[in-house]
Amino acid sequence: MYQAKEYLLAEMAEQAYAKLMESPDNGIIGGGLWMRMGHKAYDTLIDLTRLGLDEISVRDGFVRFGAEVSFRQLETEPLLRERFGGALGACVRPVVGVQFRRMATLGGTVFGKLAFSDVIPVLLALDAEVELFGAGRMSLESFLKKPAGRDLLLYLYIPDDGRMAAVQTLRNTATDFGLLNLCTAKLPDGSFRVTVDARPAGSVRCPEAEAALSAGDLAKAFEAVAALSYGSNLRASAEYRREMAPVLLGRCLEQLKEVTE
Amino acid sequence: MKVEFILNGRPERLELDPAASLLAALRAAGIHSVRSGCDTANCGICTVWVDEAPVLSCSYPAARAAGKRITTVEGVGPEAQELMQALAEEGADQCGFCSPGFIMCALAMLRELKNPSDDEIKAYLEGNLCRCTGYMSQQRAIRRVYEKRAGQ
Repeated sequence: MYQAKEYLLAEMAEQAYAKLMESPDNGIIGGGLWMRMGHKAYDTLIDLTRLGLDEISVRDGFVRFGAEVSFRQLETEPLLRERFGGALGACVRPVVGVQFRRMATLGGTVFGKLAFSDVIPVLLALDAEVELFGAGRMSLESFLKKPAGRDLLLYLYIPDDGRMAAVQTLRNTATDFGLLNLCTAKLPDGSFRVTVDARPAGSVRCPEAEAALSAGDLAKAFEAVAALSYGSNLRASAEYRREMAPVLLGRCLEQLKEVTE
Repeated sequence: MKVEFILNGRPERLELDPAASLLAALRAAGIHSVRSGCDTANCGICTVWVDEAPVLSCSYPAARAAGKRITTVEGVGPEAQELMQALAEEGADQCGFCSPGFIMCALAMLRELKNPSDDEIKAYLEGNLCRCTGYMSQQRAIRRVYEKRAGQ
């Protein structure tokens, strides 16, 4: 469990950001579920739950998600039932239990760049953008490639243009961490996105598979996802992940057919 | 730090470590139905409601609860009675260690889902581990409560 000398329930984003910048020993607490597994000692823990960042709305051609939106909201929010093929709800459903999903936040999983994230591969496949208090707005892909920095994640955006996604996960037991997560999205212009997570490293796109799918070359797409870099850990070997990635891609494509036809 | 919230309908004011969990706060307040099971946010035994929503108190920061309504199994007596009776009749209450958390999650489900399928019941309760019952008796008990309510 983490330790802290002070706990700040921030009332303004400016206040939270100023406190964060005040000391390298201050930190933001999101859902707190992964953070509690560590033993870090903070001077001040900064809580963002009173900033009104727990809403999902449609504006200016995007669906906007506050950083404090919970996984449970992704499951139950009527705006997301049909949008994006229902992939945002589907990707969090295998995560532990309802109580856990009420606490786990989008901001926590995205800002933490968690390598076993169920949500990041879906957001990445849907071309999500992030809005940070300090660094401003940028693509999630750019954000994930940046070294970890000190900032405040405020919002996530997904283009609301009819793009659809399907997601697949492999787990050794129900509610365990995914040992391989794969998402495929189809954009309105007919192009594809393919993302893989829990390799066991973090989410990456597979541009070769995306190009092959756009060209209708399924065999090449399967080869491309198998050629990504995979590693071994307690949950699965690199070889198993490499064998299963094309299987998950095939299942995603079947699902995509159902939601797009 | 001082934290004030409404605990089972009554105001509570506690002096707590800033990193204290809600579970620690509730036990400090004398609520001993709330227990730590796995201490890794996975077993559901420590489930309580914050503003009527079930959360894992082992991982919910006590400071975040300031000004909120916290409900434990001690605060849902009459509502829990029907469920507890069904659990007893189906042999679903054995060692009892997981029962307070299970009851809080099951009551939240009874409020939230109006006519769930067996799969929906399982999905809602999959975050509550029980090492005695094998879950079938719990599922029968919940189905019994739903059916009783539908018949009323």
